[in-house]
Amino acid sequence: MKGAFRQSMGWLHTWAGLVVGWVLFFVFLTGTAGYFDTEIDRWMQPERPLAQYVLPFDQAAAIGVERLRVTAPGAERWFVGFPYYRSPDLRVFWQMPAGPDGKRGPRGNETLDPGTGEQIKFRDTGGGQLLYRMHYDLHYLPERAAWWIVGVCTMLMFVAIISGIVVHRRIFADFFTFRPRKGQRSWLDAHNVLSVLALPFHIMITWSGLIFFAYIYMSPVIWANYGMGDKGERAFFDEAFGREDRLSRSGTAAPVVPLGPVLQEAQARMGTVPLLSMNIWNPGDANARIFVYGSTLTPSRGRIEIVFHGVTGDLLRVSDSHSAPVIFWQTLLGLHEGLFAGPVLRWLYFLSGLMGTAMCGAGLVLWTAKRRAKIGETFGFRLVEVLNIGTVAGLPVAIAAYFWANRLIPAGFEGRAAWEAHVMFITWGLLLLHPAIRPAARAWSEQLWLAALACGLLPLVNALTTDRHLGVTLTHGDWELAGFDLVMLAFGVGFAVVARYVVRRQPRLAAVQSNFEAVRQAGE
Amino acid sequence: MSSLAFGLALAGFAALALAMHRHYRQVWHRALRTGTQVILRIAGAVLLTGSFAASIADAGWAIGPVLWLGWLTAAALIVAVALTWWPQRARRSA
Repeated sequence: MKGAFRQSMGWLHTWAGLVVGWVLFFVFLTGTAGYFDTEIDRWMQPERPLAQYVLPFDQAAAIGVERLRVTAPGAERWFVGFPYYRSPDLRVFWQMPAGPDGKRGPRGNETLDPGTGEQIKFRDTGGGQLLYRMHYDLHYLPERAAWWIVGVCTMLMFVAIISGIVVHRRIFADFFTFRPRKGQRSWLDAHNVLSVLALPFHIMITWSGLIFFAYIYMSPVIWANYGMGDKGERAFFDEAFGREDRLSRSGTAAPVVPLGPVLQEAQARMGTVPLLSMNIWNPGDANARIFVYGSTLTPSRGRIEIVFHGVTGDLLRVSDSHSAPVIFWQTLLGLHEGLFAGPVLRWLYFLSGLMGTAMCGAGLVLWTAKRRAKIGETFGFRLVEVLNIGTVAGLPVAIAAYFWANRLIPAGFEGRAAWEAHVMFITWGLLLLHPAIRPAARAWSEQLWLAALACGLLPLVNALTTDRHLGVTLTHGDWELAGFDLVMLAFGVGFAVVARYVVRRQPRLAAVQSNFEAVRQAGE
Repeated sequence: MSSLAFGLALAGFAALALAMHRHYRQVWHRALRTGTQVILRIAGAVLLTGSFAASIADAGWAIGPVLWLGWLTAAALIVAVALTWWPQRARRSA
């Protein structure tokens, strides 16, 4: 009984993993990069100032609101993001009211120079945000279609994790076991170690990923209780999150209360928690409301939220208390996004994400290692092998190409943000074709060396094209920008080490292939 | 505090690893005795618990457990890598 169950779980694990393995590799890699999306944004916009001064929040608010008064009068909402350690810039965002047809109004955002209050013009780029969003939006697809595809793949990932735990017989005995240079056994060891040592993360990230869009995957529940379509969805969210404070414009003009005293009171009530941002709803109207937010404190995304009357400055509410289901939902999403994480924990998230990415890659390669002797010449096997090389080695090259494009496409080039992404996917496409016309071992070696160069040379490209290179960022102590270049160097070295390892093992692989040929010919 | 939580996790996993016959032999080149195994297991459990306490002290009850799990992953990975490439005696074959 037990043997048969384990066997069927093994079959399930292999097929659930294989069918969506390449999508999962993409999701894991872009998602892991997403833990540093803000830092990547800054690197991809080298026109932004270096992290130099810390602007007090009341000055930040004054500068931001001044700018918004000019650019977006009559808006539905103004947002000002105060400088903080991940993003030392002053950010503003505005949302214009919805049109009579119910469609969302136009919105815009700017980054302001804290010294002058002027907009900083930097090159148009999707930045780290675009790379991160790809891990659920994919690219070139309608949003919802992508969310469904990623959702199906995530569900299969979840099945793979659970079945993997069932199948892993020696989960404690082999906890620390990695035996290199033993072919198929090494790949299995690697896959196991990468999975087990970060298992809490893998389970959390997969399940919380599903919960993120549960309201879409299980929309009949909302349809039954709130009605169908967008209206039903809005009704559900309004009720869950208690949006009574949001009033519409009254039509009576009234100036926004001076923000200094309001923010001082907010900070006093928040104690040691720093102010992060504020929203002003219906600015310039009698129904204006000011929402002030403190930093995201905890995984439950519990941030202190303080609401003031926008015209009188009266305190209306400190923090809303959510229902238990909402807190549970927010905790899961908070754990997934890791926005609450400080620098140390963020790096641990990054490490776990990389291990998850490598876990998918090792599993995919293991599949080929196990079956090369038996079905190595079939179309199915070749297809898997080509996809493996082009994804496990090729996707990192493609992402590096995204960063190369950011530096090499001229800053004023029309549509450069879209083209940075095009470069990434064109590169990936070419690298998926390349293994089809090369012997597998050579293709692996060539793409891994390409990855080593693409990552390792990036800091040099940076130095040749901007003045935000290591020479400047290290001396100014801008560790976020310096960190990007240093991590790229580390990846370059890492890929070079792996490439050397592959090259050294090539004689072995060639021997296996020639043995296989000899056996096959003898049998004919 | 941060480095204390990490250090305790590292020591804890090292102890638990050495409490396994295979890894004990890798490092000390002789068999693991039952008495030693019990001591190492208890030590490992105590050290990992200490790491948990240090994480809570560092980051509170909301974030501490998350931080602890992160440290465990990093520490276990380092122990696994160290054991994989642990120097072997000259006369032993690979």
